[in-house]
Amino acid sequence: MNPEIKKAVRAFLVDNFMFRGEIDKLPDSSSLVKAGILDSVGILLLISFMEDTYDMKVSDDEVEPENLESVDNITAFIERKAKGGAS
Amino acid sequence: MRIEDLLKRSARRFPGKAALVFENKILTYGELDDLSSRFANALLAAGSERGERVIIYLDNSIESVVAIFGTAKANGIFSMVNSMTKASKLSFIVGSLRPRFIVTQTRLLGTCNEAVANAPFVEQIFVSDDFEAGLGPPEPLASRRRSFWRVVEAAVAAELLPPAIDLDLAYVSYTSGSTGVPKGVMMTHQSSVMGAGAMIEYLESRDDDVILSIIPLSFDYGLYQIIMTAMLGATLHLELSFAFPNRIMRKLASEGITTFPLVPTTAAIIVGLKGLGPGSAPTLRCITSTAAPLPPAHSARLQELFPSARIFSNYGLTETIRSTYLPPEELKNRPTSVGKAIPNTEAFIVDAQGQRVGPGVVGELVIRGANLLRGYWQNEEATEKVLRPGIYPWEKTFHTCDLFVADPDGFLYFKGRMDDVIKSRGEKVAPREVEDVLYQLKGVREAAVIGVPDPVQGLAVRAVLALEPDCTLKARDVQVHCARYLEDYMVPSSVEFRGELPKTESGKIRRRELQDEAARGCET
Repeated sequence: MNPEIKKAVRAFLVDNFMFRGEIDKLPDSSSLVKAGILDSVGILLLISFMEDTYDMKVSDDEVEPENLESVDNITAFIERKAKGGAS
Repeated sequence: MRIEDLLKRSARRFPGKAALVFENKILTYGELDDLSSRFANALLAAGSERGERVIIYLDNSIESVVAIFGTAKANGIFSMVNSMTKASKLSFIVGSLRPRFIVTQTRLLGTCNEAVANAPFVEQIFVSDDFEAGLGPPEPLASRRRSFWRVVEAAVAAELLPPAIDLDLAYVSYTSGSTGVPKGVMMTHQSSVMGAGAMIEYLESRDDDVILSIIPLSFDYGLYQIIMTAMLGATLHLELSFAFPNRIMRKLASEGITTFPLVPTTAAIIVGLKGLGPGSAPTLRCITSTAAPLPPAHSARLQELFPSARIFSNYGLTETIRSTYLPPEELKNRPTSVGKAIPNTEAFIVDAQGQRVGPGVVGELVIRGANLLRGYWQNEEATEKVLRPGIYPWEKTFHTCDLFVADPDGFLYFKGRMDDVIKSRGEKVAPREVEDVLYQLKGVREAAVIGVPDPVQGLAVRAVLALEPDCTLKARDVQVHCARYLEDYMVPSSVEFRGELPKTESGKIRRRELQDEAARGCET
């Protein structure tokens, strides 16, 4: 998995949700929803972050746990989308 | 009748039926009855007495429900605290209720420990998940911690429970007060059961209902989903969050959901889902919404998406459980009305002298009924302001501080607040509480918090600030600072900077002027 993307995802989470939980101590594979970091508004912020930063488009049917629930899933999702995209 | 009697009765009628479903775990009525009795006995063994307070500081979970009914069975008083609540507010609630018992979970232990650091009267903290394996911070108060499940499993299930009646307090629920100090709404079992019964009556709920709730149990709208479920003998699918709407939408069909309670912000997300077509939830009979009325475009789209569902727009305050509802057949003609009083209650509008007014005249909404609070916890001054003498010598009516107007047919419309409280996403936000936090920020010279009209939130919270000359704070810094101390719904969704704020001759900030300005700005 691309360490740069993972780092950027973690930085985004810390910037936006630092007071919802201890993001630094959370393993990459843990559910961000169960950790109280992501809720429905948080998911919307995450999507705009991904779209703005990685020049990608997230469709409604991609808003699923397997794409967005953990740092690992988000990183893999961005990688997949970036490969399939214009670059 | 008390809350736990509802559960016991359904457990006798339907011992093997699913009462609660959470993350693929199913709890039957028999099991829920048994587990809650064990938790009650564990409390009693630890010396819990009549009226003992138990704070339940948890995400939606099986443990919250067991703790609710268990506390009631021990004749204690439960207090649901939102898991978003930060240490400073939790500490206030702990200081106010002086509970001997708290139920929480590993991820909230840090906040919880901070809040009980100076509360030696808190004897036991029950942790719902396996804290040894978890992420919990090392903490100095380990001697007070217990594993919730180990305690429940070790306790006896036999019903050795104390006698109790429905005039006992069931719960205390904290709500924002205009002075910035939270107020604890005291509800008896009698009020709770009456409120639940009235809602079941007009919603025409049944024992074969399957309810899916994404609403936190700490919000009374969420709490009453489980109380109504227990009263009916129905099934509740409890969800942790609405973060993945597609998953919830699929569940509506796969689990045969009949009842789906919403708030306007979740309705806005659902109507915005592009992949969703009409008829995807064929078993849905009932959609309820509370807080602000749904924008008419949203209720129309919901009806299109869920043609089999009747949509109920409701209004209520923690102090009344539920006050009014709009019959679904009126939604088309009066989409912005919140309807009329719920069964067996009265809702009417009075002028400043307390006289009832006719249609078209704006005044304060007053509620009469058995569903009312008995007062605010240890706050007689606030209680006297809202609970005023009623028609009979023993009776009190509740003054909502909400301004309403009625149309010629008696349907009610919300017009605003009499105090400064902002109603945002159905929650009450006291400007004072947010301003106090803003003033802690270095460089903030003047601060006012106002509500800006928003189609989905009702009002969106905005901070208007004047900074010290050399201060370089950005909107984002302000929001991050607020998020540290306040629940999400209180964090300003916008921040406006000005050279100075309008003030009275005596130097008091004219919040009202800023508020009116924002309201005018949105009309144009």
